[in-house]
Amino acid sequence: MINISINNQALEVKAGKTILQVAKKAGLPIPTICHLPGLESRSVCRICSVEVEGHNKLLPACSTVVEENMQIQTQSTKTVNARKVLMEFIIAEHGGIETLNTQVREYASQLGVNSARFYLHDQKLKDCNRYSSDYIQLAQEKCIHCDRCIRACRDSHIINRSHRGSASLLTFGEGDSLLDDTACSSCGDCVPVCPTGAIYSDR
Amino acid sequence: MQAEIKKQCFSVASFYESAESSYVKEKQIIKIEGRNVSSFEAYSKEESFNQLKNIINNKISNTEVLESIYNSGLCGCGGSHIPLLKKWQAAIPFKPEYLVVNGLEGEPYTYKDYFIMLHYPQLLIEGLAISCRLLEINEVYLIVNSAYKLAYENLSKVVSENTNLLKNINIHVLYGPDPDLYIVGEETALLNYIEGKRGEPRLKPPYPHEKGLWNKSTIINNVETLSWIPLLLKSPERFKNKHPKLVTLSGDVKLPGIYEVDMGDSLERIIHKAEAEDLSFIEVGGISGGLIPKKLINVNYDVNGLSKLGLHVGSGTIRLFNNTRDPLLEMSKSAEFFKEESCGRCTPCRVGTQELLKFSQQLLDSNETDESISWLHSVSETMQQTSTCGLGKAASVPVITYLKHFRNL
Ligand code: SF4
Ligand code: SF4
Ligand code: FES
Repeated sequence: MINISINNQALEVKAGKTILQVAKKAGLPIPTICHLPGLESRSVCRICSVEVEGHNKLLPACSTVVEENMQIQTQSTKTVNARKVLMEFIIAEHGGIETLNTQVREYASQLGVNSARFYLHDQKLKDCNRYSSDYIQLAQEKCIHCDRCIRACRDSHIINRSHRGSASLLTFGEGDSLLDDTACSSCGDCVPVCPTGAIYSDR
Repeated sequence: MQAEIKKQCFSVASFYESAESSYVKEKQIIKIEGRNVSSFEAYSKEESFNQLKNIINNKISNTEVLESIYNSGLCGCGGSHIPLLKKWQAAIPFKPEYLVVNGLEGEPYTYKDYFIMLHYPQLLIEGLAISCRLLEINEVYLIVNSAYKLAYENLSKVVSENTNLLKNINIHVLYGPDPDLYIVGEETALLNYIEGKRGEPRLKPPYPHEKGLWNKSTIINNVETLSWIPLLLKSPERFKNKHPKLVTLSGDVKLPGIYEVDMGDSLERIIHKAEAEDLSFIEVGGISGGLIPKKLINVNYDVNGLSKLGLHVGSGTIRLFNNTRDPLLEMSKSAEFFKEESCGRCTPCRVGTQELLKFSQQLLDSNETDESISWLHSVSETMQQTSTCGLGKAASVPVITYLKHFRNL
C-alpha cells in the first residue's frame, strides 16, 4: 500500500494502480473517452488529464501509475480548462454533439460544453469509407481517433491509422485494403466500443 | 537488414507514403558550407580515431573520459539540451543494450548533422564507438536522413574501413523513412520506425532508457552530441567555461551555412557573421521555434535567455528575414506545417494544429476577435499541457511568439 492524496484528501491505495483506478474507488470519478477497461491504455484523448504536484504538465489519469506521496488534483482550474478545450476538440472533429454516445455527451454537459466553434471534419475522408465490408461499415468523418476499435480488434493488423495530421484516417489491413481482404472475421468486436458511431454495423 | 526494415515499415498502412517531396529537393540543393567551424577544422583526418585508440590502449581510462565529458558540460544537441551524462546515468541501472543515433534531422532549414556526417563522418563514428565502450553497448542503430545519400555513403565507408577498431560493435547504418516524415525524428517514433511499426511517438513513461528498442533499455543520442566527444577529449580548453554548438544560419543572408558558436553569446553577435541584409525579424529554433523582431536580438542565445522570449534553442536553427517578408505569413506557414505533420495520434495535437491554422487564417484575413484570441491562448495552453510529444507541445510557439512580439497580444 502507498500513501497519496487526491484533491487534498489523504488516501492509502494499492501500489501499481492507475490514478484513474484509485480515484474511482475513492468516489472521485474522472471523465474518460479513449480508455476502456481491459484494453491497453493509449492515452490519446487526454480528457482524463489531472494535475500532479511536481509535474509541470498535466498527466493522463488512465495510464499514470500512482507513486508514493503523489499529490493529485482532479478538478483544478487548469485541469477543467484543458478538459473543456479537449471536449470542444472532440465535438469539432466528430462534427457535432448529438451523435456522440450518451457517456461522452454526459461528460460534455458536466463540463458545460455543447458545441464547437469550428467543425473540422473533412468531407474528403468519406471517400475512404468504401473500404468497409458488408458487415462492418465506416463513417470516417465521424471518427475521433480514440483508437478503441484498433485495440478491441483481436488482430492488431486489421484496423490501422494511416496518413497523418488533419488527414489521419482509419484504414484496413496493409495500405488501402478492403476490409474483406484482411483477416477480419466479422466478429463485430470493434463496433460496440466505438463512442461515435464511426464504425458501425447495420446488420 | 535495411531492405527488410523498410519493407516492414512501408507495409504499415500508408503513413510512409507521401507526395512529391519538396523538402528532399531543398535539402539536396542547399549548399552545406561550414563557416567558422574551427573545432572541426582543427581536427585533421590523420587524427581520426586517436582518442578511441588512446582508450583502447589504456592511455586514458574510462573514468578520465567520463570526467572530461562531465567537465565539458556537453549537452544533447538534438533539442533537449540535457547534459549528456545525466541522460546516460539515468540509463545505467537498466543496463542499456542499444545505442540509437538520430541522424534524421527533420527540422526544416537545419543541416548541422548533415554537415558533420558529410564532412566529418569519422568524428561521429569515433564518438559513438567511445560511447559504446563507456556504456558497454555493442549494438548501434545509426539512422540517416534518406535525403542524405552522400553522408550515408561516407559513414558506411568509415565503418567498413575501421572494422578493427570497431570490432566489438555492431553498427547498423540505416536510412530513415521519407524525410518529409518530420515526426519520425521524435525519439520514440524513431524506435517504432526501427522496429518496423508506424512512426508514432510512444507514451512516456516508460522512457527509452527503461524500455526502448524491442523493450530493451536504449540510449538515443543526436549526431552532433556524439561528434563533440572526440573533440572535447582532444581540446578540453575549447570547453573551458564555454559551450560550443553548431547552428544553421539561413534566410536573407549573404553567407548561409553552419557556424560554430558559443552558447550564451548574444544572438546579435551570432548572426552578425552571416551578413544579413535589411534584417527585419528572426526565427529562432526552427519551424517550431518562435519569431522575434530585430529589436530583440540582444538576447543571450541559450536556454535561459531564449526562454524569456518564449523561444527555444531547438536544434540550433536560425533564419533571418529581410524587410520584404511578413512575419504573419511565416507564422502561418509553420501552422500549416504542423497541421500536416502531427502524427495524428493524440487529440490535443491533431485537432489543436488545425485550430491554430484556422486562427492564423483569421489573422491573415484580419478577422480575429478578442474572443478568438483568448480561445487561441486556451488551445495553445491545452496543447502544451496535454500533448503526448514535443511536436504538439511546441506547435503553438510560432503563433504565441508572433502575437506577443509583433502584436502585443
Ligand atoms: S472508429 Fe470509433 S472506435 Fe475507432 S477510432 Fe474512430 S471513434 Fe474510436
Ligand atoms: S503530440 Fe502530435 S505528433 Fe506527438 S504524439 Fe501527439 S499527435 Fe503525434
Ligand atoms: S481517457 Fe485517458 S487519455 Fe483518453
